[in-house]
Amino acid sequence: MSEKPVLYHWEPNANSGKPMLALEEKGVAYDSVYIDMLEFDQHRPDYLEINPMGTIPAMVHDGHLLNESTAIMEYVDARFDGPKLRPDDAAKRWKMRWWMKYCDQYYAPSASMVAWDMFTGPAVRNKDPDELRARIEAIPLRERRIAWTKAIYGQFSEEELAESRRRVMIASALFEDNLRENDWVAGDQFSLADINAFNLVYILPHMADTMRLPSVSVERTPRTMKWLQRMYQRPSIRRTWAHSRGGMHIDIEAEANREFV
Amino acid sequence: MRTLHINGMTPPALAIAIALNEKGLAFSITQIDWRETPAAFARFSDSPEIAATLEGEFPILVDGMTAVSDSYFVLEYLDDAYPTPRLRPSDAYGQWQLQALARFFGERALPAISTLGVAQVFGGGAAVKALFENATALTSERRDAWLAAAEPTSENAIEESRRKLGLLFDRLDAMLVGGQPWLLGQDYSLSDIAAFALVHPFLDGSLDAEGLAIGEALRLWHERVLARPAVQAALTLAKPAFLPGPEHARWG
Repeated sequence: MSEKPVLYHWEPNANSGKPMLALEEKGVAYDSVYIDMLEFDQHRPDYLEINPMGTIPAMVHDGHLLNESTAIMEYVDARFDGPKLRPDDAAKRWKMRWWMKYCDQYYAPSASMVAWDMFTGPAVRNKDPDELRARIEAIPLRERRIAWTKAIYGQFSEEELAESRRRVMIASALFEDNLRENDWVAGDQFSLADINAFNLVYILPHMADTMRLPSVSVERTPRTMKWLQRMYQRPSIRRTWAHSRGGMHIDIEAEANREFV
Repeated sequence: MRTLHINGMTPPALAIAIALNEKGLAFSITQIDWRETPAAFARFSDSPEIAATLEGEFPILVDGMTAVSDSYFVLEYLDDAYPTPRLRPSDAYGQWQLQALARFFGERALPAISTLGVAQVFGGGAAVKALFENATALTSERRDAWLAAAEPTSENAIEESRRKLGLLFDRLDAMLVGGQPWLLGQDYSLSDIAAFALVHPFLDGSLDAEGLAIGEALRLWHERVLARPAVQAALTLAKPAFLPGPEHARWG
């Protein structure tokens, strides 16, 4: 046995949701520290002392700081006893990693650019302008500084946003196609790739109208909707979403028992 | 039967060739002229993952019935499928270090090297347009990456790429200044292989290193990796090449 990991996270979705769900699936108890991203808690000095990159999520375990949500998930599976969350077969493991990268570097950044432009930016924009400027200056990573500046001041260009929407449509179609032969993303076994994708895909059916992005729906992507249902039936989702402070505004019970005609 | 399909010895191809040699795995090389890329790549389109590549069309490793691409994941595939000699730390934290570093290599360094390589070496010129404009085997992003290589590279893109490579060299040097022989400590690993493929072009003169500070610890480490027989053998397989690679992260 080792010490309990401490996980610094925001709402249990997107990148924060990945290690949370992996820990729950693995059956590992952890100390949860909620970092309010909309209050820029991740750039405050006390958090930067723990994670100088100022990113969330981050995990402290055995005296080590770990960041990069997908790599943390692999750490969780490798480090702790519990159900295997990665296939043993090398080719399937390659497939699992390929899909996680596709989500991390293509599907999720595109969806989140649209979401940041429509929700995250406006959610923080009404703060005091001087305070906002100071908060942006406190962001240690240049990439994150640019991203926050664009979101807060609504600086994503029409072209960038249109390209992101196009990419979400392409990625959701490819994801649907991949479920043609198997129940799970990397094959016949539930894996970290399902956890990774869930944290991005679950919101898309609910935002089809508000984001004007009809990517995931019963009509367009029926297999993805059934995969989402299989995910909602896992007890780990309920336990992970209990950490939400903003309210996830999704009825897990209804999603888990959705009837498909 | 194991075949590595390459468009010349690009940094990703070099990393895979080194790993195969380190593992003692026999393989043959299929060289594909970059002009033949669309047709050659179309032959792999039955794998949806390979068809939707983010890194670039080649290298692709065909290992028996399995085809894999995306160089860092190919390195991990090889270590998963052929565990000896082991090229990853045995502990979870060491494995996390490898993967966190690989993310940085793939997302920041590789796009930057591709940008500089295309600007300084590739020289596809106007011919690229005719060959790639209607290359339906490629995703639209990959077609765009090739078509952009037909145009002169902007000063902004070059400056941004140099900045990213500066981050890479600083990070690697910082890992080595304590005197450890390899990036992760006492054991040679996939991190050394992946990093060597990125650093080597600037030290063998393939790419212009002007304005980039390469620290002493990093230079000594490069010599140590270069001296390995597996690396020497990989370097003789094909000429260095630089082609349109992964796009720079769109968020900045």
